[in-house]
Amino acid sequence: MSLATQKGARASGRRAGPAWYANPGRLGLLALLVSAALGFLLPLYVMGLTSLKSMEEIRQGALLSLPAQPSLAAWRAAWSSACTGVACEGVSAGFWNSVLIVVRAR
Amino acid sequence: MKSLLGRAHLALLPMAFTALVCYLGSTLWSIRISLSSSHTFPVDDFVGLAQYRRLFANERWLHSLQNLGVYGALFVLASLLLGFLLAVLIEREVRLAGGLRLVFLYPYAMSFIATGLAWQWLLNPQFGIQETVRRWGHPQFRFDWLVDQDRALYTIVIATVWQAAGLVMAILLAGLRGIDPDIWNAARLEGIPAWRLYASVIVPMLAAPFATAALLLLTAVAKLYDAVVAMTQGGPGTASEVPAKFIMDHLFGRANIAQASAGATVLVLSALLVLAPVLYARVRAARARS
Repeated sequence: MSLATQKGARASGRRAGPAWYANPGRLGLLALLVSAALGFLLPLYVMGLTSLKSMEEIRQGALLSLPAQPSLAAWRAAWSSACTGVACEGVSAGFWNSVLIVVRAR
Repeated sequence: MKSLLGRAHLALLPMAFTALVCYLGSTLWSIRISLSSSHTFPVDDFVGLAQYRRLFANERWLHSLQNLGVYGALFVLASLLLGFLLAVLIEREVRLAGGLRLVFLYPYAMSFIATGLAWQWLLNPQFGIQETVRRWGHPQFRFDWLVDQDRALYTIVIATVWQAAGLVMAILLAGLRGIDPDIWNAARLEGIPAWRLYASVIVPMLAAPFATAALLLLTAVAKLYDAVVAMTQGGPGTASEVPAKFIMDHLFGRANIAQASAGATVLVLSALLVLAPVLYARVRAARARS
């Protein structure tokens, strides 16, 4: 491979070399990256999963297990009927306030 | 030409007004309050440095400052290290780069009041990671730092590094992309091992992005508040108290605005003390380049 094409390959982000499954170094790299990504996603996973559980199931522990009976009830409550202080209109009011601020600010 | 410049200055007036009156003005106002005997409401008297003497006789404040020092050192170093590692790995493994960048950066886009709650669950020994691993068949497994007097602060380091590492990665990735491809090719031709290339060539070339990242991380250290409130409320005991929380508690909870102002003034001064050398180095570097 000439130097010019090598430079082009680098600049466009592609690399010459064996395929990833034939190269233990790259395999290790990939494994490291993917496990780091999974670690980074853990809090999001927990939050999403817990939002689908019932209150009893949450009290039982088992934070990482899948919900026995997934339900969107908590989402509905959080959107329209959860209480913050004295007002019981969920997060929707605040959400539309944020939208209004962004739209006006443009 | 001159009138054009005049008009430009005119256009800058609102900005200058905001900076002078809102930022500088309220800073000066805080300093003024910190020299008075105010409690719930501002009082127009002068008690010298009495509030500062009281502040530094306060065990909780001293503990907060010490916590901030330990937290800051660990947080900045770990974020830079993890961010750099992620940037290097992503740069070498371009096929997944787009998706992975998003995964590593999403924590930064989320409010810590929300994600801190998820971390509190995960780190809670009764139903978080500890309990999960125990159910997998390791009943002796212990990971209860969140409720450990000596280690609660480290859980805040873990969660905030998770949040900030993606930002460092993005900044360093931009720096890595800016490096001349000839340098990589030259190193390959010469057969220089990758770690040596990074340690002796790439990292020194990334000095400016590293400084930018460090500056942003240091400001985040001084502002640390939401993570503590969401995860430990300063506890157990005072194990994870930080100055910003001390200030907020005295401002709103304890109705002692003079103590809060004195704390805020000390925090601003120490932040300036830390940031001044970094800013000075950046200005010098910019001058050397031009």
